[in-house]
Amino acid sequence: MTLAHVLLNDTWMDFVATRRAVLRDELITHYTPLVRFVVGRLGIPSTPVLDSEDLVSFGIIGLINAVDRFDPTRGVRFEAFATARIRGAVIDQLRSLNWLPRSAVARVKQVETALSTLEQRLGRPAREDEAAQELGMTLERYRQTLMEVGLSMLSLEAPLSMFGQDDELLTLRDLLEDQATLSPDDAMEKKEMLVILRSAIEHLPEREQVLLSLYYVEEMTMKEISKIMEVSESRICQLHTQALVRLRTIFAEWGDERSRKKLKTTVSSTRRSNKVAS
Amino acid sequence: MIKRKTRTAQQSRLARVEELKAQVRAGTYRVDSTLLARRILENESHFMENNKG
Repeated sequence: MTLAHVLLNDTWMDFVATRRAVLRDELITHYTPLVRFVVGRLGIPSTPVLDSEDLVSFGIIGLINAVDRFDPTRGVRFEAFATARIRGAVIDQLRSLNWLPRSAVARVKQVETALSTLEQRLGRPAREDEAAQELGMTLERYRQTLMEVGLSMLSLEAPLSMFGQDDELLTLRDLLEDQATLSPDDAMEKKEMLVILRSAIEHLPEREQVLLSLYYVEEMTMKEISKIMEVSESRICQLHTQALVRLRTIFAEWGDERSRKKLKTTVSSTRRSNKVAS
Repeated sequence: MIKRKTRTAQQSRLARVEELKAQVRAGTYRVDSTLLARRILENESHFMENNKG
């Protein structure tokens, strides 16, 4: 452990014991770069009315919330604990400004349907020009739509208010990392989800696979990915959205199929029960 | 101390960006689809919402 780690650890322990404002400020200052990092990964384009500094200030609300609630004795890294809160705070603020209207969700559906229809017809992932044509748009308009869809997809994210009573947001991460507590059915379902998603990833165009890996595995920001892949940041946001929409489509089809199977099983077992009863 | 730590972190991040750029350019960057699937499910809660049957 380095001296910096020891000092930080001491600051946390002092803060938890005393709740002194000066220590709180020190921690908030120390973790401010984390807010910039998380906001940078959201890929929200700046506009004349809302720039990146506004987004950072929204994120700071999440950071303060995280500093106030973090318990270092629980063995969770602060960065992991705070990231969900920072992200959630930005999304909540955008929602409150009506930046992520629910009506925009319909646009996600349109693009999902177009990509899904084309993939079934062509037997391969659709190119952008093909998707644009299917939607009756120019390529430029399609790319602009992808940017809007990216924001709309954020609106589908779990709101910050979903943090539970014990201050933890239950995510698939929790489920995946604690397989022992899952029922055999749930464990099987989670395993199936991973297999389906992995297979869907492998069917994506290679460039989109690399982009997603840089974002989710290497944890690069949109700006860094644009440097690595040598295209503009807005182009990276568009391609990221397009890849996610493709995956959501495949995943949704699997979800529908699973629901149908569940319904079939329920109907069969109800029929069996009714037979026994009569 | 904290400033120095931040500067070092920025430098190592820049180096990582350059390293990844070289791998992507050379076509040697490998995607681990299993790990990527896990990370997407951990980060994109709307994938879960989409499948609440």
